Amino acid sequence: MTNDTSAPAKATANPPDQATRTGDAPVLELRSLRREYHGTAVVEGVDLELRDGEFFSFIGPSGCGKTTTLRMIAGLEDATSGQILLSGKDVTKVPAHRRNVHTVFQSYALFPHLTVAENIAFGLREQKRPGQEIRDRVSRMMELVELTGRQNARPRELSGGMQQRVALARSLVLDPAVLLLDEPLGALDLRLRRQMQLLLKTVQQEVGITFVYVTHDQEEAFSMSDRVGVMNAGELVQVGAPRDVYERPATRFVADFVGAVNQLPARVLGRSGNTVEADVALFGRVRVPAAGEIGTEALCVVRPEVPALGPADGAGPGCLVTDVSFEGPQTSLGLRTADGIALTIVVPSHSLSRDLAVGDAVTVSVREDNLWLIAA
Amino acid sequence: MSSVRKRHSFSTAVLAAVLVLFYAPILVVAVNALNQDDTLNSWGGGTLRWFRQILADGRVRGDFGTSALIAAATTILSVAIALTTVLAARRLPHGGRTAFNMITYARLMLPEVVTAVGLFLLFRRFGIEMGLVPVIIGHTLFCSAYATVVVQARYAAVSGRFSEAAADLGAGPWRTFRRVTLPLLAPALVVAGLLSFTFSFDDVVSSVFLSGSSVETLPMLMMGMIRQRVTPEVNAIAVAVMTITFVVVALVVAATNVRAAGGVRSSRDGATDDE
Repeated sequence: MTNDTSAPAKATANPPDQATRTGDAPVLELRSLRREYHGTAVVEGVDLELRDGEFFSFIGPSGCGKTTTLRMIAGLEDATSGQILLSGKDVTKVPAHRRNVHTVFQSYALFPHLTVAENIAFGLREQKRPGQEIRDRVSRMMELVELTGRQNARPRELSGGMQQRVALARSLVLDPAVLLLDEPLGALDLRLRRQMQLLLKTVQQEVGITFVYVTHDQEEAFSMSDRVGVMNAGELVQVGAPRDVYERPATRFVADFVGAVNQLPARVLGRSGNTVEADVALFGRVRVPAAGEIGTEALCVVRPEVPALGPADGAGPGCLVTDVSFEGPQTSLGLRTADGIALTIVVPSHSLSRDLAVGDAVTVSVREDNLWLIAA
Repeated sequence: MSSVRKRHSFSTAVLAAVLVLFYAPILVVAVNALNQDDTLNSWGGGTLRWFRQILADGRVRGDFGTSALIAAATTILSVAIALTTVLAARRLPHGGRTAFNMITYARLMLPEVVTAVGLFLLFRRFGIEMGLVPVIIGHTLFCSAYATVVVQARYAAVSGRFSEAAADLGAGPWRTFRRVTLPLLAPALVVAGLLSFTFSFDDVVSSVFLSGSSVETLPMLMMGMIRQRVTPEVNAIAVAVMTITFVVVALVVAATNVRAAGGVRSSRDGATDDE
């Protein structure tokens, strides 16, 4: 192995200097990225640009191509066509061990024959760093992920959450241009997941490294990310801030995936600017915001928290309560109109009368600008 | 309650029978190795006479050396073949890997006498004289198959994600092999080596066919001795071999544990996968 200070090929393994960090080029750029197996595309036409320091999440159901995309960025999988650029440099053909991109694997893949400290030092030793520097950086990293004191433990002696943090530290210590995380919290229980989500977010803000996160849990992605990208069948369907994706899903698939349970049939009557005049089942003629491409037949997304509940003689269409599910801070209600249209709504539990029961008559009302129209 | 106890006592009885069948012959051999009385029918008092006798016997010493040499060569060849073929098989297409596995298992399943005769005829056909090298080749033929199965099983458990993680952290293919794959395979290599050594050391069939007139191994000598009558010397040889085997295995186990304590690697890491 050559000393990396003299080998240009290894230069990217150094901590990126300010020039490459703050240059005009996005820290990571994907151009029409495509991957096929035996003639079937599993990732197709993915275009993406990431800002430096961004927390970006790929979300989508299993098999949508998000992990394959991540593995192509890491260099663990070859792109069939398209380009991957790191800080403006094409790395599509650069092997994994020469890319300044590191991964936290779903299975952690901690080396069982090495101690925690040796695991974290693994990449630094590949870079031929001096011993003192390695020790300093490892101990600083162990502090950051709250593992101080466990440096001589073996991975198998640690709990799942601790192993997770070793995996994070092992990649983070190399100061990657982009840190990839492949469903890193998938194996943890709910309480630990929340803790780790907070830790990840804190760490990311502290080190300022660009995170690319893969998960099938949209809530997890929403709570941590600056932007999310929804993938379906190998294609990146929508990219945007979590709230935009949640409130303005571009397609029916995204709407389903982000939990828009109520999709009422609608007929588009006319368009002006960003809003559309439509005849929506249950709510009648409304003027609502709409997704870009939309025909005459459309679906009106009514997010469960949007409808307000009123008394039987209140304003808005009347329904019967078909289900009351108390979920702690919120209560989920199943409603049905006389025409047989079903709605699921969520209301803060404290705002609900304790007497509300299945079979009660209620009314619902919505603010038009909280509705959203997508193509059917 | 009583049926539970009955089943319990039945399994205990089976276990006891197995242990007796397993260890009784060893005990008989060990006792008779120390028996003054050379008829092997009665106890004539303890002695180390037979051990002194085999130590003084140049033929026994020579054959022991031959067997150890053959076993050592077989071990090195078998482990090397196992490691290189397992690593190479990963690059084969699916059909090639199936063929590789079938060839490996065929070597395990074919009666040894078949491969021994086959090799004998082959060497004769090419005018190669029987002796040390043909015996080593014969032993390596089946020992390497056992070694391959052991190494392959371990490789399947450690390949993939660990090498990927190493590559992801900046280790090139050779460094990944040195720092990750090889250490993780080490326990399997040790086990494969021990198996190869043992199987080679006590092999009779291949040795008989391939040794020619100039080479004699220890098991061949013992077979010859028993053919006339079971002598106390045979018992003493058996006990000596058993003791040596035990010491070697104990040393290997101790060595791996000592290294684990030193923080290099642990034999338990080898036996069990993490997660």
